[in-house]
Amino acid sequence: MGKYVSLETVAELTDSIPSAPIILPKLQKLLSRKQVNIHEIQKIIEVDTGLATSVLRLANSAFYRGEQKIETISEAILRLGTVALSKLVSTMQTAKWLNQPVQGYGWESGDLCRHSLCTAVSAEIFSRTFGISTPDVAYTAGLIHDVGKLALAYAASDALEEVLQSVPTAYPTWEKGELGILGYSSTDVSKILLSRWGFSQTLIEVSAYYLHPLLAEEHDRSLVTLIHAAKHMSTALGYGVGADGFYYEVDEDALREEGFVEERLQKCIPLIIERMEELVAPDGTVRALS
Amino acid sequence: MPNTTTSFPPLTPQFPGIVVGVADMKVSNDPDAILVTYALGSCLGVTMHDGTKKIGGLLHVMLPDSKQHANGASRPAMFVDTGVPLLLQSMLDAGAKRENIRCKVFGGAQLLSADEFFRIGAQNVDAFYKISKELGLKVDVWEVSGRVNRTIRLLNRTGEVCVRVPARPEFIR
Repeated sequence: MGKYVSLETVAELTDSIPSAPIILPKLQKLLSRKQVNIHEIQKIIEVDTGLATSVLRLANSAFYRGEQKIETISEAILRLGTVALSKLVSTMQTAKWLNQPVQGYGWESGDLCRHSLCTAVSAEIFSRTFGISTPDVAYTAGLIHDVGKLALAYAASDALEEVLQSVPTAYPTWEKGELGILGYSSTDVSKILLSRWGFSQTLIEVSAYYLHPLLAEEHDRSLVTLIHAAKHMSTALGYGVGADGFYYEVDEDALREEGFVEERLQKCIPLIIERMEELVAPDGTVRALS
Repeated sequence: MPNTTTSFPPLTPQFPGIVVGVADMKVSNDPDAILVTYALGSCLGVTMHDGTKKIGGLLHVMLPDSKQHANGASRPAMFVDTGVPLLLQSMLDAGAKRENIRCKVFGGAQLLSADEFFRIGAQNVDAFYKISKELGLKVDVWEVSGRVNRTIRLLNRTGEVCVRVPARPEFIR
């Protein structure tokens, strides 16, 4: 019996945290089909008031609005199309979960949400720049890569306090601190949660191995490495970085192997900032949730 | 030894301070103003202050060199080489005397095991050192590098800067 809660207990306790993105895998499956069944998508969206409101709001925004005002979810789905809808659903579902007030990792309110949004935006832009995966899959992978941290902060904040006191004096990295003190890390928690919620094997692989891309299955390794790069970019830009943020190692061999080049990564930064300004206000408020 | 922050007015929803975004810059001649910028990461937060006239400025730059970017000239506050001269000129335009301006610099955090990639923090610090020499700036504080995300607040009345890092007590530089 360890000093702190087990990995299984963390996963079980997660059921009592509201707003888990459990409808996301089902919606994404429906949205990725060649023949989209609007009625089925509509049924899922309509049970989530916040999501339904956001879908209608986006469909009636200056960018999408046509001559007529959109008043129903089915009209909104047709107006937005599957790519925009998929992105909106991913952002709303995941941001709501990640924006909850929990102690741990030295976070301030909304930090994990801001960090995940910047990782998602960076991943989408890197996907286009380096021709890896597809921008929408990269975006979702960036959003969900750290879901286990919220669960761990919720269930084991006392253990995280010990990790905080032990890094870097007793453990050189935050991951090694979690492994040494808890016996498992936040990526193990993410892997269990995403499996339980029915996410695709690729996204589970991302959450499990983004810290060590070379351990990922070969067919998912490019995307996992892309999220590795996006996560470190998000940290360097300071979005939602807690006490752990700068204590994860960059795997430069993995980055080189996938063809990443520092100069091209840096050239993406102005574009990342432009996109983040749309999502996060200068005082850190997440616009997508306000 | 850093000072304590008990005399530093807290920011509240009613008094949010003057918020400086990423790749942004603000100058104020209100002695009661507090300029704040959040979460510097590897970016730099540069403050300039004229203690006689109580004029303060804050810049949040992200990258060292505007010439490396196609549209670099369109956002001078994004880059060290263009943002620092812009802040200095804005201070002078607001009535600050060049000989009275004191400067402080924060941020430039570094990722672990980053020798070839993500060296933005070190590059920003190097670029600031270079431009500060070229402009003859008097730099009193270098709170840079390390592995922490810094949020800073400049108190215009005194020129003091309150530094907040995750899970640690605030301190004044």
